[in-house]
Amino acid sequence: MIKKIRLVILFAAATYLTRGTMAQEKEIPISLSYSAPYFIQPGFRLGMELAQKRWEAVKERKGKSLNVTKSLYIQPQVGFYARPRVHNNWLLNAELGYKRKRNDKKGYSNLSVGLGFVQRSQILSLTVDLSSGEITDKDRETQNYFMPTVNYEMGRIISPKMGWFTKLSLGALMATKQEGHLVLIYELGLKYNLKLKSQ
Amino acid sequence: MTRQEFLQRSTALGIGLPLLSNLLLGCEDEVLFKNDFEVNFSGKVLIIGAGAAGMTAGHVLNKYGIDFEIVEAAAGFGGRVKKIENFADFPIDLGAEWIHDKPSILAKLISDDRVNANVELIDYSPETIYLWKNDKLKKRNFFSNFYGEYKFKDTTWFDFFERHIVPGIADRTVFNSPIVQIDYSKDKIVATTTNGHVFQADKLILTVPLTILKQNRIAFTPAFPQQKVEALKGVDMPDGIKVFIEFSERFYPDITFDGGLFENLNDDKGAKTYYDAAFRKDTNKNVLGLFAVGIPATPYTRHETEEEIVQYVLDELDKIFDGKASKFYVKHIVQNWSKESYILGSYSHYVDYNVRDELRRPIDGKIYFAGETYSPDENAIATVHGAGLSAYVAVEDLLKNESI
Repeated sequence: MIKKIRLVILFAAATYLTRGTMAQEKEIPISLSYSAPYFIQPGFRLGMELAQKRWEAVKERKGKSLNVTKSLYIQPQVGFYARPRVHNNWLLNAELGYKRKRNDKKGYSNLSVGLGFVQRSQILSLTVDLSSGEITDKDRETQNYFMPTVNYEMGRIISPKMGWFTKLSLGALMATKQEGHLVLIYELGLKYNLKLKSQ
Repeated sequence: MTRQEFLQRSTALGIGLPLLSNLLLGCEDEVLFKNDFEVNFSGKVLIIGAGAAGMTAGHVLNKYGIDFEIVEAAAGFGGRVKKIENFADFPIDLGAEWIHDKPSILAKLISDDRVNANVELIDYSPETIYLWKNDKLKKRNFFSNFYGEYKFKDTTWFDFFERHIVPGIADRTVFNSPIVQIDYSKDKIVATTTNGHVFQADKLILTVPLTILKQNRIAFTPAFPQQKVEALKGVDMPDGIKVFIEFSERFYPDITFDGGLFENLNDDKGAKTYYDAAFRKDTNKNVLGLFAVGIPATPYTRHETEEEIVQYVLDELDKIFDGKASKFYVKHIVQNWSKESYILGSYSHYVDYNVRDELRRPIDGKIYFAGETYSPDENAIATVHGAGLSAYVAVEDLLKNESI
C-alpha cells in the first residue's frame, strides 16, 4: 500500500511541477485507457497532457491551404497492469510528445518517447490447501524496472470535451538485477478535456 | 495448429516442459473430478500398474469401499512419477515435474475435504529465456510473458502421491509382478505374472504405459477388438529422457530452447529443452536439467551408458555456453525413460486425435483404461492430472456397471 501511495505522490509532484504550464492552458486532456502489455496483461493508465508549446502551420496541398496545429507536450501517467496469478505492476511514466492535428479534421496523431518506472510484485511461490484447493499464502518479490518507450498514438475528437485514442508502445523493461526484455503495449482509451481557468 | 494441439504439445506429462501461457491457463476450465458416483458394483477390481492413474484409481475405489488390488511390475509406486532425494539439497522429479493446471487441481486429485495438509508450489514463470538456433544463442526474454505454470517447491509429484494417496492403497499393492497375460473370456478375469502368479477379479483397470500395449507385452484372451487395435496405431509414445547436471557455477538462463520458438510450439515430433532445475527452489546449488522427448531425445537415449549420454550433453552444452559446462561440471544423474523397464518411452503423442474415444472405451464391461493417454479432457492428455482424471472416469464407469 505504501508503494502505491508513493506512486500517487510522485504523480502529484509531477503535476505540481508543471503548474506553470497549466496556468497558461485552457484545456488539459485527461486520458484514461485500457493499457495491456502484449495485449494480454490487463491494466489501466491515467494521464494528463500538458502542452508545452503550440503553434500553427499552414500547408499548401492541391491548391488549398490547410491549417495544422502542432504542439509539444508532456504527459505524466500512472498505471497498473497485471499478469494474473504471476505479477502485479505499478507504473509511473512520463512521455514527451509531438502532436499534429489538421484543423479541418477531427483525427490527430502523436509521436512520443517515454520513460517509465515499473514496480513489479512478482509471485515466487504459493501454498495450496489440499482439502479446499484454496491458495492460502503467497511469497512475493519486488522487482524494479525502467521502461523507455517510443509511442505512436492516433485519436479522434468526438465532441469538444471528449475524444478516443488508440496507442501502440514499443520499449524495453530494464533492470540491474534482472535481465530485461522487449515490451509491446497496446492502449485504448478516452480523453476528457478538462477546462481550467487562466490565471 | 489448434489450441488443443498447442496445449497438448506444450503440456507434456511432467517429463514434458510446458509452454503454457497463463492467459490460456486462465481461460481453461478446471478439470472437474466427479466425486458422487452411482455404485452398482460390489465385486473385486484388479488395477494393473501403480503409476499416477493406478494409484488414483485405487484411491477412489478405496473411498467407495470397493475391494481392489493393485499389481505393479516395478519394485515401487510411481511409474513415470519418480524422484531422487540425494542428488541435490532439494528433491528432483526424474519424471513428471510440472503442474499443468491451476494449483487447485491437486486438491481435486485427492478430492477429500478431510485432508489437513498444504503444499507449497513455485510459480514457474521463467524470466530468462534463450534460444539455441543456427549455432547461436539468442535472448528471447519477452517470451516469459506467455509462459507460466507451477512446480512443487520443496517436494515432488512423487511426494504428493506418497503422502496423500499411497497410505490408503499401500496394503493392497503387490510389487515386482509384471503381468504378461490377461484372460477376460470368462466371468472372472485372470491376470498372470511372468513367474506364473495369478490374480483374479471381476473387473480390471489397465493403467500400463501405452508402449506395453503397443508392443504386445501383455497377451489378452480374447485378443483386443480390431477397433481397439486400430486405435492404438493412432497414438505414439516416443523416446524420452531427463538428465540433471550440477555445476559449480551458473552460466545458463532459466530456459534454453533448442530451435526457434515456433518450432518448439509446432514441432509435434518432439522437443528438447535445458532448464534451471533449481529455479525458485530453496537452494544455492546450480542444477541444470535436460528434458528431451521424441526425435530430439533419440540422440541421447540411443547411447548405451550414462557416461556416454552425459558426455554427449556436456559437449553440446560446451558448444552453447563456450566450454563452461565441462569447466564447471560437478556431477550428474540420468533418467533414460526409453530404457526404463515397464515404461519404454515418454508419454502419449497423438497422431490421430479421432482415436481417443475408441482408445478409452472399456472392453466387454470388464476392462477399463486409465492413464495419461486416456484423459477425457483433451487439454490434460499427457499430464499427471490427466492420468488422475482418467482414473476417476474409469472408476465411475466401472461402478456404474452398465452393460456395454
